[in-house]
Amino acid sequence: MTPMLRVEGLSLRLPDCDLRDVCLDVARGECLCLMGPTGAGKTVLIEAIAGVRTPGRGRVWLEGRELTGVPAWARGIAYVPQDAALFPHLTVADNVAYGLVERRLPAETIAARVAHATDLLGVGHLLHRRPTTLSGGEAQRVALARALVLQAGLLLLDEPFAAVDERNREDLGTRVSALHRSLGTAVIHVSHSFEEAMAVADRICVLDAGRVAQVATPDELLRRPNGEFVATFTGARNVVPGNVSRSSNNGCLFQAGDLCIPVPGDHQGPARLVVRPEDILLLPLASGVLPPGRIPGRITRVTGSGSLLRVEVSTDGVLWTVLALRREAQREGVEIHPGTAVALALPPDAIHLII
Amino acid sequence: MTPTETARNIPAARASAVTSVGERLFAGSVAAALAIELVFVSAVLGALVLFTDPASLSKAVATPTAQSAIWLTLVTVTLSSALSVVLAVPVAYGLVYWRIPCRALVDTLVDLPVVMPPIAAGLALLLLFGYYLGDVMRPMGLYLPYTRAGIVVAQFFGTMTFAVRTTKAAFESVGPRLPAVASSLGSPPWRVFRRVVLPLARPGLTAGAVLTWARCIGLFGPVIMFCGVTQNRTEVLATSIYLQNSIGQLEVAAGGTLILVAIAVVTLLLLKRLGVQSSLWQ
Repeated sequence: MTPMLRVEGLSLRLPDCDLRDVCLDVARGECLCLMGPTGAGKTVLIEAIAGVRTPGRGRVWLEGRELTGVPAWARGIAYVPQDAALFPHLTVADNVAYGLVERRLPAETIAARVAHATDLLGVGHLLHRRPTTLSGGEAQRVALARALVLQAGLLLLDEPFAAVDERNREDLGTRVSALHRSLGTAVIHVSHSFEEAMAVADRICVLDAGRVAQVATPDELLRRPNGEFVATFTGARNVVPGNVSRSSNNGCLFQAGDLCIPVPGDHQGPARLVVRPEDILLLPLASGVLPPGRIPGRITRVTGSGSLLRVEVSTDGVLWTVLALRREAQREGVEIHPGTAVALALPPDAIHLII
Repeated sequence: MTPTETARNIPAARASAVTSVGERLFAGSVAAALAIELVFVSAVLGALVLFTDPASLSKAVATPTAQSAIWLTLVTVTLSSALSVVLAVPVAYGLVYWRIPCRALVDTLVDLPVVMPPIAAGLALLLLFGYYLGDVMRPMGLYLPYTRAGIVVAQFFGTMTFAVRTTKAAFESVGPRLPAVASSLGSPPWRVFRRVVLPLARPGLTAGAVLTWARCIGLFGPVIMFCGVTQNRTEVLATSIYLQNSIGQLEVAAGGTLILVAIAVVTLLLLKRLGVQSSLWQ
């Protein structure tokens, strides 16, 4: 089946951003989250897809129709810019109806769609207001409604919930997700928040300085980052460079200095070991011989308060970050204080090797 | 004294020392400059008002010659500023929203008439429509130098750049963002212009039109060079002041000047009323 959107080799050079050779596929009904540090090119990429910017190279197809060279107004893509960008001289109702008027739809259809979208997004009571009188969150909802009424095949959202307060963000995300799934719309959603991306994305695309670093499902991105950049970006704070060699009992061993950890798979040679902080178990350091896979160390720093603590543990030459639940650590008998000797256990399924 | 107290006290001590000399000097020079400006403008206007008595003012307004000059001024200025604005809107749109090759050259050419000495502009017009095109246009009944139609052409040449600049400023105040969004919502360029750019630029465009008209009314150099000043034929307010002064009618010249000043004051008040920011025309 042809994807709803295909981007091939898109390159665009700007003073503060350099998109290089971006390739993407988004399926019908799929939500792809675009993530990356500031200046990675997320906004520029969706502006190029929307046709607001002209790429230097590359091609874009929508439902098999090539859009390269097609002006923005003829693309039929719904786009919600980051800052809402409502037309200040029009009322909320006229803003939402803008694209429908341009499509010369009958007045009843326009009225019905505007009412439906504004009710869905909780701005139905603002129809006669001017954009300058709206709060940031309200303005973003109106901008979202203005795009949703178009019922386009592709919806581009540039941080659509940034100004919406936290309490309403999740609810709004769920409503928009439900709507685009029911319509079979493909969505590209630029987001800064992993939580938001986890909630709405089918796949996440991480951009690094204008290049696609990795496209994967949220779970895969967390479990199997394909490089140090993605690992660090997704918060897998423990990335240890070392070497993998075959062990005596036919398994594989990851070695970094005195550190020696059994690892799954059969790769041999240089590699980086990645473990997420929430996957490491913090155990008391029992006397006698440590069971295999346990690493002895000492707590150097504890931050955070309440039930979740970030604990830094120093082992032979490696500083690990562990997210520990206070209650669980107490149950295991670990005193979480700087200076306490502890053992770290890395569950085999939590270990990922970047080769 | 604890470290925090020390840190808090040092800037305070320095602030009081500075207030006594530097700050007073700064405030004093601002106040002095403001006073010079206000006194100078008031003195110039005062001289004009003092000199003009009701009799000479009525001479400057009520005689048939004066009335002919006033009417000719109003008609030509309205025509030429309307032409300027009509041309300026598409020109400014192109300059703001299009990617134009040889941008620097185009900008220079468009801006040139505004920095060109007005007398030079008049002479250039005379050369074009008199020396080069005069013989071609005369048989068609379109000979422009020293005619009333010529006044419109001279005023148009003298104000079109100004109109382009104010219109450009009005379009630039809209910014590229909203037109881009309108385009992504399905508006082709003409619809973007009509539904987004034009309504948002309207205050600036109105101010530009009013200013163009006001500027046109005082235009002297190109008009006197291209059309001369003949009573009851090509005499407009601006050139009339020069004519009256040169024939020794200083009171009438002062009366005419007072009319022009009054028009300028009304224009400024009108712009204030429109709530237009001064940045649009400067």
